[in-house]
Amino acid sequence: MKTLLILLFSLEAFSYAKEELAVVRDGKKAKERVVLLKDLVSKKCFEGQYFHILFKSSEKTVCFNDDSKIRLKASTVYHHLTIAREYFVQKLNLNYPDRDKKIKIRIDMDLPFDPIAYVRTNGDSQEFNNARTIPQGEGFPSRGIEPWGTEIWFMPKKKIHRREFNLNNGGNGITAFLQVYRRQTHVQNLTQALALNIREGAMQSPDYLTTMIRLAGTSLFLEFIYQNDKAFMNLFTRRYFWLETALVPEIIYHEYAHVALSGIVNLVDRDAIVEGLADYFASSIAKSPELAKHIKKYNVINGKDAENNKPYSSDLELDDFANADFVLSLLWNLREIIPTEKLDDFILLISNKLTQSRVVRRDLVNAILTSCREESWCHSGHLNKVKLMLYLRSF
Amino acid sequence: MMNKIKNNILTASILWGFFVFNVNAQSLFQNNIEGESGYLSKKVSRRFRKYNFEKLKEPMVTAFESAKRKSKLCTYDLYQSYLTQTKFDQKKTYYSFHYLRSINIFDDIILKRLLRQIPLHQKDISFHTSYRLDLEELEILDKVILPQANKVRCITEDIPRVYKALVSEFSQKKTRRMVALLKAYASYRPQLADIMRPMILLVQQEGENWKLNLKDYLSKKSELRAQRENIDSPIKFSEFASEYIKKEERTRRERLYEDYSLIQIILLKGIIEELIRDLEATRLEYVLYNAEDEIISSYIADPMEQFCLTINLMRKKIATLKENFFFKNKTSHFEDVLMASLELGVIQSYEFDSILAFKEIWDPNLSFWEKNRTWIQTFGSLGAVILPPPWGVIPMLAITTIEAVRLSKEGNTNSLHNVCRMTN
Repeated sequence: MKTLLILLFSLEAFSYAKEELAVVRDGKKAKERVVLLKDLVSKKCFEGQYFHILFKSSEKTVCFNDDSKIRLKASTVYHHLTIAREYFVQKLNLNYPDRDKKIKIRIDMDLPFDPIAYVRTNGDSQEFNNARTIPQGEGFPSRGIEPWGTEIWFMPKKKIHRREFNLNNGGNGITAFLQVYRRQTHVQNLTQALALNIREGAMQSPDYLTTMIRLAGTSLFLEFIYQNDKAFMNLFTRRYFWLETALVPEIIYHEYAHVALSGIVNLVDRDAIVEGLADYFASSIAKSPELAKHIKKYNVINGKDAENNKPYSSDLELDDFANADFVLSLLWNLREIIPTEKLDDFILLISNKLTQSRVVRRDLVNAILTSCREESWCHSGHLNKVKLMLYLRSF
Repeated sequence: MMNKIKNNILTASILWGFFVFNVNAQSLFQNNIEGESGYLSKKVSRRFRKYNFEKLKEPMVTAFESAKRKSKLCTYDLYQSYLTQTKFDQKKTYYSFHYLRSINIFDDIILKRLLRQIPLHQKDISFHTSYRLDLEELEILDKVILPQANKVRCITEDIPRVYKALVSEFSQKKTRRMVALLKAYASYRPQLADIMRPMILLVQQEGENWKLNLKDYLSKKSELRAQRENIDSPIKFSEFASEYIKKEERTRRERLYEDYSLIQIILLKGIIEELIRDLEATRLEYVLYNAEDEIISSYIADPMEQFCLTINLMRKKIATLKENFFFKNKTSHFEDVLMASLELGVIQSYEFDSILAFKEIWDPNLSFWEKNRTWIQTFGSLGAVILPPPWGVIPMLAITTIEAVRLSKEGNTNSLHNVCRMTN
């Protein structure tokens, strides 16, 4: 007992706070503001009781005298991870394996993760514009690879050209718009031409000729634009895309949510439900239905919108769509039915039922309905509303 | 001594019976299901607040209760008796009725019937008409109207019956022609002014559209209340019940009482009872049998397939109600079914909103573009032809926007995961 008390006092004595510049939300916009970094155990570096910020794949701690860009990333990550941890520990009182452990956080980590070798160093493989929560590994002692604990990696940003980037899951807005417009116009012009031909075809009046030329001209012009859409797209869409994950608060919350949920769902799994659950808690912590939006300086890729009520499609079960915002919006929609103060606990209850199989249409729907039946506050009115909401989302 | 006790018991039981009748009559008038009045516009609400009826509340309630006892449940007499006691002018009476409704002394159905009485009590109305009655017409009118001459009570309650008899005698359905006939008769028989005045005004006001007088309403309500008491469910004020339907100029609850008979309302309520029961089911299984009545295959539906089937089943039941003997080809609506269940208390207040929301499935809220899609496409196509270049591009853009909205909403969704929703 005595030793424990001494230890506690000593921990308290070694805990520091420091003011640093970090990216925070100011309303919808992201601003650089001075924040107070809590629970630091080092006076010089970003090392705290629960988070240890490292640079790239090295064991070098990011310190307060490092380059300002790196410091900004480190302080932003540290600040928002602290907020996320407090949310899970204090508000939700959640127990998870890494709750009181010091987690290694790597910023500007450009090497991809390897489940056996820890990092993939062969070839020129690098990873950018992403963030990952790394599950703990046993290492490979015979090859000199030590075991590692749970870590969060924030990859650096890299400008990627539009042609290398799969925008909007396969089709971009302008192309889709042009496709609809082209079809409409061609059908419309053809109908008009036919109608005109039937009416005035025999007469061949000057008006007839002018109209026919106009209709053919419109169609040809549109076809020209459509066939050369790349050139026209340069006028309307962005050429390069990038994402600085370490400077987007909601991405940091999302990654920590994976850590907090690791006691329920395996960190190795990355399906639509696991990502959706992490997104939901990121939204809850951020108190906003929009994730990674209105932050063009650091992210020019579409963020996520919890109020995007797109209907269900079986394609969403595919891993390619794991990062779509469908599950997030589905869970967020429950706010309209379930009292807000009970919703986080309710989502945790749902998560507990999703340990084995995770098909949105079957397992998530069943988990939501079963969890509702188990809660004392949930009556048939709630259940009916949940079923209706799911029905309207095309389930 | 024994006789005295017997007399006392008899007197007490008579008094108790009277008391019980009064309590029942009072509660029948009182509103205990409707939310804020559907007839209360903001303008009316502001006006009656100006009158400061709060101070007059007690005398007004007393006057109304006393008028109720004297009226034998006829709105014409009830109105007149109330007017005599309060000595309000027509305007003040109008607002006082709204005030009494706001403190739940009576419901919207009674309010509407009382408000309808106001113009019928105008004294300075002229019966002038250029129409001249012939002898045959006069004989018919005398035959039908004169027996009512000595009747001084419940005039408006009898008018629909008298008018229907006249319509059938004259084989004439045009209201204007009938009014001319009645006016000519009123100037020919000035001694019948007390009956003719409200009759002409009521015919002018409503034609043949009168439905459900106060007495019939209260008796229907009493029967339904008895059903409700058997069900023993908590009563809740609902805005849905008093929602004003603009096209029909009546409230939802009024529509139920006017359009449906007692047995029909009870049958309507049964649909919601079955829906609630089906929604609570935990498993749905499709089973296929062969000619020997052996199971050849089965399929357990998932919860959303079960929900979909339950809703579709309810819609089918509503649609096929008209085949029922008691409905005689009358088409019913989901709102009426829900109103019947609310009136009979089979639906709990916490369930009500969720079941009301089911309407979104077959009658979704549409955006401006979705609602006007057909119109914009039609006029857009026309505009694209008529408008000279470059203006023709504007309607084309409107058409494209609509198409883009539709495509983005539909996306690449399919319903192949739900056997109940498969359409292609």
